[in-house]
Amino acid sequence: MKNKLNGRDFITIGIFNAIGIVIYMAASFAMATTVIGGFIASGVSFMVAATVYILMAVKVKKKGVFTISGTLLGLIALSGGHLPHAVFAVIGGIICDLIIGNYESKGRMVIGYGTFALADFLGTVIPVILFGTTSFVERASKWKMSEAQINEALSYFKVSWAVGFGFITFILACIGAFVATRILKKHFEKAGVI
Amino acid sequence: MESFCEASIVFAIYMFIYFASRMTLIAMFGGYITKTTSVSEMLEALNRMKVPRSIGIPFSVLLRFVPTIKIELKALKENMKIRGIVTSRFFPLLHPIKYIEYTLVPLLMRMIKISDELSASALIRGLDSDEKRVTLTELRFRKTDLMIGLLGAFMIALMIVIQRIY
Repeated sequence: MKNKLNGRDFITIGIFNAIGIVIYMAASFAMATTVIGGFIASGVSFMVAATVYILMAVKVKKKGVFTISGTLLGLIALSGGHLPHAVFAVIGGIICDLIIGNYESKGRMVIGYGTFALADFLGTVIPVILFGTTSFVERASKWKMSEAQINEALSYFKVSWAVGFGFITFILACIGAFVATRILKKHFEKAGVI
Repeated sequence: MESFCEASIVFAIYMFIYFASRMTLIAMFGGYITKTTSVSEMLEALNRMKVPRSIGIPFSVLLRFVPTIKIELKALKENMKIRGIVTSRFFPLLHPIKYIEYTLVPLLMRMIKISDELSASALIRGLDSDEKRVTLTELRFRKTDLMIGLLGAFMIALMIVIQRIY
């Protein structure tokens, strides 16, 4: 009885996910305007939204919180037409729940949140790298770019860069989760909310 | 050097259009559903599609609360200006971390209180029971829905054909 999610928990999850998704969208859009921002947008937005997700996880100390969060994020991504992003978000949520387990230690929460952000990053970047090369070449030939420019632009699409950026995303999200636990201790435990 | 600048600018525009198209489409879709659908209609529609309650309830709450978040953020910003904490308009850019902390923590406190009130009112209306629900909203699949669905599928097929030809 104690371990199943009730109606109260569903409403809490829904409300905090609303804030989290709004922050994720705002941060992603702000980061995408720069050249390099498209690759670290996932990490930075999850770093800013870490407080919301960690607070939600600590308030509802049951299994399944991140699964539902991943599914909601995936639904929103699906309504934008990005199927791999949605699938990766759901899988990331399930893996994050498995890592967190029973909410015993804070370290596991930080690492679990990092994998959640990493799965979201993979969902946005892997389609661009796998399928983007061919479509970019087609479109670039229509824009009449020269051969050297196409090769230079394609040099950004390497797999090693993706691995590097994935690592950076994981580190950023872990930093965000760690700062979130400090903010929780500073403000929310004094107020007696947790 | 010049070709590098050009290539990176083109790449930046490419990524910007990718993200902007994604966000605009999602924002339009979300805004439309938020303005036209009430919470009970959304819950009943998801229930009929046999979506489990663990996804249906958070999704409906999410749609209902995005406008509330906007209103609360506006109230918070006015509050900060009145109390003299945020003095200039460039405060978010100069001290980003402090700004995030000043905005997020009160917003989360408000949201905790709102979620407690909302879940109390929903539990009294029997959100948690496993019985079969009876609702007052009428949901039917009429001919108009079928025609619009077919029109949408036809547009998608047309787009794919046009991209192949061009």
